[in-house]
Amino acid sequence: MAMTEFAIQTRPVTVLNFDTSMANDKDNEAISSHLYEEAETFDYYSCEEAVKRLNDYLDHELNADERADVVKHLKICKPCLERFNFEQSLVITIKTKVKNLCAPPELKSRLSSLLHRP
Amino acid sequence: MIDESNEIEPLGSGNPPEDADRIPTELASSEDEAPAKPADPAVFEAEMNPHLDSLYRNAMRLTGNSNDAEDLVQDTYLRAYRFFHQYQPGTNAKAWLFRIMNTVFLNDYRKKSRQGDQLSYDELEDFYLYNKLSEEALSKEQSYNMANPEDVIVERLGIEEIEDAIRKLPGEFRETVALATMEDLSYQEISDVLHIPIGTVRSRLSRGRKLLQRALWQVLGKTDPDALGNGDD
Repeated sequence: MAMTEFAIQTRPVTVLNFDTSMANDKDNEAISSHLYEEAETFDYYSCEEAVKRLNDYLDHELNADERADVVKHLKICKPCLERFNFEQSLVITIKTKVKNLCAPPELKSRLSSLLHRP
Repeated sequence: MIDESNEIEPLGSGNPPEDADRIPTELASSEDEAPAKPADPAVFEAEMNPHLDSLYRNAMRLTGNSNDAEDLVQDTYLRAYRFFHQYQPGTNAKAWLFRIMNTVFLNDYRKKSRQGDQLSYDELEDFYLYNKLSEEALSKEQSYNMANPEDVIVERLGIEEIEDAIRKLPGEFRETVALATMEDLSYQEISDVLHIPIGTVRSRLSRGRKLLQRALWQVLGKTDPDALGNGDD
């Protein structure tokens, strides 16, 4: 999508309320700091640059600066903001719903008895 | 058909040992066998049991059926107990268990497990599900508000649909997507569990999540014959 369509929107209408809700749950800053070293500067007007970082963004693999770069784009690009929001909701939905599948109690008691057998 | 060219190699060098009770190679070097004195079961349980549900879910995704999943959990659990002395307290126990499970699975289970459906990798688009929902909203009388398409997903997607969609993914995508999306492992931890470079984690995640969105769209009852092939053609 061409950024020029949205560049006139100087202030974000939608609040970035999704941004901090899941942050800091992983120790990830060291992992990803080298990721985008080839890109000297982040082009805030490029949807492509932001979308390239979508998964790292969703999984909290970006360091603070990299994350700020993406957020800066989302603040000026409503289409990307909506899509990123959607992707984040999808991940959260999947994560939440699959947690309902648990190991059968019989399996748990079998493991316990195997561990404690004489 | 078993994909022998799978990037995931059995751990360590050389051929895996033949005996059924072999040691995960990354967990025990030749001079570092299981200790004569077993670990304290209570300490082990306190550390590992909180992850049993995750282990079971992962086993279900790997094997595709509950019988094999239970066996795989049990094998993993007992092997982890045997090598508990190699676990470093303070590190991610879940990632450690997953690493053992992956090794056990590759050695003993992979050949009889399902390999995932044949999916077309062509034309994997970004934001597939979002786009489909948008198209649907535009083409029909608008039954939901596209201002919040995520609400539609929350409402329509149940655990069955999610697990069905995950099972449709080829194994290597399934594991990477599941570990990142459902089990909260960092990319580095996934790299360690699956023994693949972190760049491969990223590329599999990128393609895998797009494939997952197509599969989700399909299990939601939507037909998109171009997106998901059945491998027969």
